[in-house]
Amino acid sequence: MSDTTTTGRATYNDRVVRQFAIMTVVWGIVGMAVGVLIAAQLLWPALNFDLPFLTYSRLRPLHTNAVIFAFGGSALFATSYYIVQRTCHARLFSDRLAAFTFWGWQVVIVAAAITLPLGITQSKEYAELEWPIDLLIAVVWVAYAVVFFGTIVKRQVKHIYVANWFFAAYIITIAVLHIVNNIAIPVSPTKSYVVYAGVVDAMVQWWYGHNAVGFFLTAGFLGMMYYFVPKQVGRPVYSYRLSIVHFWALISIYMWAGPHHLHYTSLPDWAQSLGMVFSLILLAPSWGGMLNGFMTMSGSWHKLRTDPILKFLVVSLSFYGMSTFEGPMMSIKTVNALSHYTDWTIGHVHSGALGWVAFISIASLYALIPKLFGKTQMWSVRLMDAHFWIATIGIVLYVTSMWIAGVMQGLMWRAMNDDGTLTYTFVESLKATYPYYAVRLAGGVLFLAGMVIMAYNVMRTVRETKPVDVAVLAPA
Amino acid sequence: MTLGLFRGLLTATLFLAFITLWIWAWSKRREPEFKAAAMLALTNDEPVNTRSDAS
Repeated sequence: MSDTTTTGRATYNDRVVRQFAIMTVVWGIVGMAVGVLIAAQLLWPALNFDLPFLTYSRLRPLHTNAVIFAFGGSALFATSYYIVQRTCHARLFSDRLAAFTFWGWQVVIVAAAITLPLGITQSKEYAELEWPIDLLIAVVWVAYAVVFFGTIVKRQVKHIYVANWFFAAYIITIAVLHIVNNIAIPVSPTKSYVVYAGVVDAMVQWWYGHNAVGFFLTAGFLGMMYYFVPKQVGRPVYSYRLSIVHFWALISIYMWAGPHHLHYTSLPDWAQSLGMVFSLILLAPSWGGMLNGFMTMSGSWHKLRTDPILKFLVVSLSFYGMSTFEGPMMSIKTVNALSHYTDWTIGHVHSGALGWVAFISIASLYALIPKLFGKTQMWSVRLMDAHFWIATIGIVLYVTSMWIAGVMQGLMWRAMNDDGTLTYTFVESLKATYPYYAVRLAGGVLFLAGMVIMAYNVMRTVRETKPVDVAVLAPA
Repeated sequence: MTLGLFRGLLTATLFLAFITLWIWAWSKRREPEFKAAAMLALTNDEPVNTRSDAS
């Protein structure tokens, strides 16, 4: 692949963007299919067939790792590489390192898909992978940082566009979080012990865990939002200065919200309250981003009738707004006393993960893929529309069933008789949850079906096309 | 300096930094700069043919 045109003009490195974009769809289907399987197992436990590698306990981390790091991660790599080149008027800093990040990341994903079902795990949520894989992640991530920041440095424009600020924050923070949370002493190639103990371990883990949400699943995807929303409606972002203020507020406040995962544990009470207060403040910068997105779209609402990409973007921003309201509310200790350990949390997470993260990724891919392969539009706009409606109905079924199930579980678990004994046994609450597990499974199946439709549409779009090269824009 | 005083000063400093950020971002002098920056997302691709081999 040549990096200059016949007339000597430089081109963008879109090869790595194409690779990551296609793998986003593939890993999305894999990760969500595992999710559907474990949702079915909660309804019909016999579906593990008494095979250790098919048990819920081993597949659940596979599902979370696959959808967050394989699907979400590939989407972030693809869009950040695409956006940083377009908004810096520069080709990626190093083609070789960029290729290394692609292949390195795929090896990490395959290694996760092998080791997690085998039960090889550090037992830290969202950081289950054992130390050899952690080392590879660290190396790939540093290479990613070099490529990204190298491109920023060689930019031919004065400004660093706001989307790149969000990507930069996500890349730096994930490096710090991943390395600190995974400091461990290996005892064999497949087993290590983290250096932290007791409540410190818990606090480090949820400092990591919540910032994985804040920086991997929020800041990075806000980077997508700040490029693809203006691009799709054809006008600049509503308030550039608001984007700056809410950027700094968001990244400085997210850091402190982790303790809300440890309410009513042995974590010191002041730390729990601190986490709660920071979570509540977080509403403001989160909604700053949402409002900026919505205001950028205002005046373009008529395009919603014909543009499925815009539909995905509107719904993703809506779910971003809803889940960033719900999150602070659930961090209030008295609310958390009801919601913690129930399926309400699962509903909250999926409102963010399916509604916000997946929808903004899908919108970005539908905008990106035709361009990367020299077309103006996806093969079928009607299939994009079908995907949108099927997936939206899927999310609504998923989230509402988990809300109801969660509140019901919380109320049943705390109900007491006059003599101080518990009104319900645990298994009674489980039995009452069954119908909601069925509705959740239906929601998950619909969402997965949407992804399969997308894969078919992408296949038809890409088939018999030649990837095109795009010239680097002149300095500005 | 006691720890309490240090914490108080730290909070006050961060609060001031936040207010300063608002003033900085909203100042009229930044406006043309931000306008130019916001346009960076709106450029269109210029596809070119580099491939005789179509690799």
